[in-house]
Amino acid sequence: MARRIVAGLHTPSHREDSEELSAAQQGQAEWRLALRRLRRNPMAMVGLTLVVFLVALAIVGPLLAPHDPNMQFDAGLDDNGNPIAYSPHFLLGTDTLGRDQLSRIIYGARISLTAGVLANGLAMAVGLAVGLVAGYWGGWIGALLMRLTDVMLAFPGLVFAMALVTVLGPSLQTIIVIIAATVWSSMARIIRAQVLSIKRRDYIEAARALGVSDTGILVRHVLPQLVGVVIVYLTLNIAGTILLEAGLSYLGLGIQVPTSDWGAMLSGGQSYFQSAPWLFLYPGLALMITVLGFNLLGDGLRDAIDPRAQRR
Amino acid sequence: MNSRTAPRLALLVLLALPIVGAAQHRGVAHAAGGSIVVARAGDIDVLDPAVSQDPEGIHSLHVLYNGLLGVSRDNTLYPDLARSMPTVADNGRSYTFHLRGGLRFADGTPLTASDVAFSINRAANPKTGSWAVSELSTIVGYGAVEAGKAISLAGVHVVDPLTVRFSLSQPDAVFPAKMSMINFYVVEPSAVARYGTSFGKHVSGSGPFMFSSYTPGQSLVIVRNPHYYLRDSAGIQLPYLDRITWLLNVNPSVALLKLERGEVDMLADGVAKESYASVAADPKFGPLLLRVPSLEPFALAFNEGIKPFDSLQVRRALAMGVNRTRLIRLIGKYRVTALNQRFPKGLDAYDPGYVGVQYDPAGARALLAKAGFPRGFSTEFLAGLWPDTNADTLVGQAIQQDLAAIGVKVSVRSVTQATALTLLGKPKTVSMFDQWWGPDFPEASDYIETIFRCGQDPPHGFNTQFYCNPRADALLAQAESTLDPAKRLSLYRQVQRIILDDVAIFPLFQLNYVTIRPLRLANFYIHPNWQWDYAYYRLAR
Repeated sequence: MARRIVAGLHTPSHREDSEELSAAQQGQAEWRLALRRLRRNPMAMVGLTLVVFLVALAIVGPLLAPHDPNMQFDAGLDDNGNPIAYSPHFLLGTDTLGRDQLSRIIYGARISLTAGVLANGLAMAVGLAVGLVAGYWGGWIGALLMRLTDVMLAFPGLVFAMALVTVLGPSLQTIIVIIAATVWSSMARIIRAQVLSIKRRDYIEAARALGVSDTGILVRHVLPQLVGVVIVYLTLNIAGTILLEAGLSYLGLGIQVPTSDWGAMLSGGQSYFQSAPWLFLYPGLALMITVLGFNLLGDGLRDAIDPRAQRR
Repeated sequence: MNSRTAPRLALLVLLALPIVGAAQHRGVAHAAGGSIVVARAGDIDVLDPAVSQDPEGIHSLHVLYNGLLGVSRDNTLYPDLARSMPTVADNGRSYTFHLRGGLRFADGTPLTASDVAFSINRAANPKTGSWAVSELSTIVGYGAVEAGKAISLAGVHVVDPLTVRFSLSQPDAVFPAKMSMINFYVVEPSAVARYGTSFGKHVSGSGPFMFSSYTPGQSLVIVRNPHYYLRDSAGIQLPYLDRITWLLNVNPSVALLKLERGEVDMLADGVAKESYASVAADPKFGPLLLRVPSLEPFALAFNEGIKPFDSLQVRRALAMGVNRTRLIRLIGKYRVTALNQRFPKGLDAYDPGYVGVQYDPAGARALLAKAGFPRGFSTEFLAGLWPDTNADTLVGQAIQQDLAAIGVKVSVRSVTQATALTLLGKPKTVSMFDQWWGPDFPEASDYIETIFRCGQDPPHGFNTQFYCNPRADALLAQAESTLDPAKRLSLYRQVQRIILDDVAIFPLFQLNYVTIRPLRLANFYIHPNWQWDYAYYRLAR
């Protein structure tokens, strides 16, 4: 019975109404409700559309890009060696080396999303593990993990990331690990708080009384309760992670030349803010749209999965 | 006019003369004075003449200190602290300098021959850490000082308070020119003793200006040195300006905005490529644009201590793979002029008959295959020595694409100039880099001696290629001891050919000094050696 009650996206407020439903049925009902709420949220749909578009762009980008993003074209510069704003060959103009801006932005989407999703996934894995252990078992190990988390949270994220890049050297792989190392702590805090709340509920006590092991409780009863939080937090955090990656590249500590990267493109174009504004305008817009898309979708997911949060 | 009127008139005129004279004097004095604000792109590393090597430091030291000889605006030597050019004896083995009388440091302390000797001995001491120390290697006793067995050079003699004589172990025709180097400018011994290792953060010179304040990363303020010896033809003591405020770390694009808003008077780092077209078209600033070829060569350099750059075929192949014309277009044709050799156009040693390695990617691929690299190889290019980091990274990326076409995969590492200098000082660390050179004195020797001679490895030289060719060294030694300027020039050209045939470097271009003529300044010009000559700039009336 305990298993039936706790499975799926179950919250105590719905318990009385749903006791007679099977676990699977109730979980499906909750998700259907959430999806319905999501579909009815126009801003979330805008966010979803943007995210789907960006993901598609990242996947099929090489097929869409008109040029090799790293190719320096002689025709990509004017007689004085300056970038050009537009030509039929270069729809979004060229950069200071005569490379096609459009192709670089398309390829840049791949880097930004890869860094954002993988770094966030890695951070969530670490945050989830730390949060679960600290929240469920607590004790000295929980205290130790939380003090470590506090130390990490006390560090300014960008400064910490910069220090790590300086030591490890810049590359996409190290950037992903470094960003994950920078952002896992806030995730661990949130997961721990959720676990602390969940583990005091009656059905967990009931499961324990029935002899279900700690691992079993965690896997069957706690983790499923965290799915919504994880999805919302992942989505919202991707935007921040992409910005952090772009920030590192902007400072010259991220993805190295000649790889296309929006942050590096912004950095390369900043001194042309008067004479060639398209150099920072387009990558800036790409970043803005990406961050907007993930934020709108994240907000929508939060409202859909936990409508009480919206009412609050 | 009656007999009594004439003496009265004469008396009146006599009485009036001092008043007119004073008025005239006030008029001339009024032309002097005032202050300017100058935007500079970098910060200052250290303000110690003996050790300074960064361009920002050198530009500051040039007006805070001075040496026995100076470099005039026509790029020739002139007696500065010395009252005349040195007396040469013993077939170029002895140089005697007579100092001007009444010289003083900025704090009023008299400057004498013993201060000159102290400064030269200090620069020669390995503990001081001067990169230019080897320029003193012909002075008798250099070996003992270098080995730490002596603290002063036996060949530096203080004959009397106003005379210093240098005895050399071999004839050195370039010795007078070396005495115009920043690194051998005269420092005040009591200040060195007072500040010790932090001397570089204090200033105590005898140049036209003296230190007022320094805010790291923000500004350096200098004011007129009341004890500066030099006067102009009208008898007015130089400098004309009372105060110069250098704003540091100002990006050239931002500096231009500041100029347009009237926040700065002068752009010390020129006009950035991104702004040049709009400035040239601007009705206010366009006519004020100044573009003067510099004597600063720029080259692609290889570290021969790292494989496969020890192979001449590999170095030649890489040189053949770089498209100099495209590179110049990227940097901006207004900004640089193509150069195919070590000596820049404008220097007497420039060899107009030299052709050099030509762009030939197919030939480069064949040569690489012959050298054992049919599929190329991977390497790293360090960008950072050129203070213009944006342009430096462009150079790196252009070379990256060019060499990719011949199968060489280059990763570009962009660092600050300070980091670049540190990395280049370590053997077997940097494979390929850009080599930018600013002139120290107007002689061919300056472009060769400390950069290509065997054993001139950092930190006591600038041979960051770790290049060595005994044949070039022998010719260099011969050139150094040749007093006949024409013969010496011919020898330096031969040395240059050996170095370029060895592809120790691949010359790319020489920089142009570009700036906007400051509206508030009169007598403004660009100095071929120092770029800016603040002692002679004055406010327009």
